[in-house]
Amino acid sequence: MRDEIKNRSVFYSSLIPHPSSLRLRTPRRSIIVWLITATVTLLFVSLIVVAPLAAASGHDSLALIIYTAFSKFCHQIRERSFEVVGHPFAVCARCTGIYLGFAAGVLIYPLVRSLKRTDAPARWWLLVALVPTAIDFALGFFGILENTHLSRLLTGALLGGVTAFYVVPGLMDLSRMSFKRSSMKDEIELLAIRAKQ
Amino acid sequence: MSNRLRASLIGGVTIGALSAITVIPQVPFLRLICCVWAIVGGALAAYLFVKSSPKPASTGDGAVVGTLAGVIGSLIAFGALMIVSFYLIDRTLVEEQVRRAGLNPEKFSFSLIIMLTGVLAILIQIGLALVGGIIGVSIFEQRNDGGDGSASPPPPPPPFYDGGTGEVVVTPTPPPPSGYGPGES
Repeated sequence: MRDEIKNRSVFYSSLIPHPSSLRLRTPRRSIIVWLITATVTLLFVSLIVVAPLAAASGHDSLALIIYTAFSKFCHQIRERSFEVVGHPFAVCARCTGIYLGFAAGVLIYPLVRSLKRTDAPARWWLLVALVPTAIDFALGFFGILENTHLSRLLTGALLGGVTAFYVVPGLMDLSRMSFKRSSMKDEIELLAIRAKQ
Repeated sequence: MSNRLRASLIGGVTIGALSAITVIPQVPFLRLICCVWAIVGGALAAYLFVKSSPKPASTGDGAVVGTLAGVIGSLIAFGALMIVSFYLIDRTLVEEQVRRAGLNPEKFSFSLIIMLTGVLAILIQIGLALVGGIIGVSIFEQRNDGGDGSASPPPPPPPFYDGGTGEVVVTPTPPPPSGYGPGES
């Protein structure tokens, strides 16, 4: 009876991938996903500044494409946008803050939280981060207090930075979903080979 | 149709419809809410998926439904942009706007600019919808999926019913089939 139990436990443990292999493979995948996310985010944020620089340097087509594409996502009111070399950014100060904050959040994420984690922080952090932006927007909208470029940038950056801490775990989970599928396929193939033997 | 696809479709149509309105120059006020359309559409898809999913949805699921909603929505918006740009808007008005922005419209191929703008807008919209999907799951999923490894293990199987004798009998698991496991060939 004891031998039977031992055989059975050996059999079932053979179906589970060795933990050391998972420990080695998962972080590398997470780092790659984080690097891709950081690169794409930085490229995206750079477009905001590339538009005015392209306009100033005579690359009008490039500038027009970026300005027009971002016009679908931002009001682009000149008085509410930062300017470089006489041309406005591709998005307003608040949107600039959100995107810059998001990029900063993605960059510092591994320093604050493990890349292995796939759970999002508590939802109230997001609501707390939203409050300053909402207040800043409401004060300006109702004419109570005129907000400034700096207030829009900072409140937006806070919201964007916190958002990154929800998005990166989601992307890690997404990458792991495909990893689980491929490892399951490996297991099935392994069982089929053993069955043949 | 799977839950995931249905949720993505509804979220995508929402994104597409709301974004399509913003390409009409006569309704610029909708742009004041910036990129919220795409994020709301992704979050809506995530909400519908969470509601219909029998097991806890993970943030990865949110990323998938958000991305799908973004793809569907951006294609609808792209179609609307093409129709509005090529058939409804007077090109001279656009050129005037470009000139006012300090750019030289004589240099451009109008069609090429519109196409490239559409492609860039699609990419941005998909990215924003992805963010919306992940945030949507983070907000709407109340059930614990244990992404941090804190999920409670499944309950043990109930003991075999002994027919009322009061004696608990554990059913033996079937032996492994021959040819499996290490040490066996």
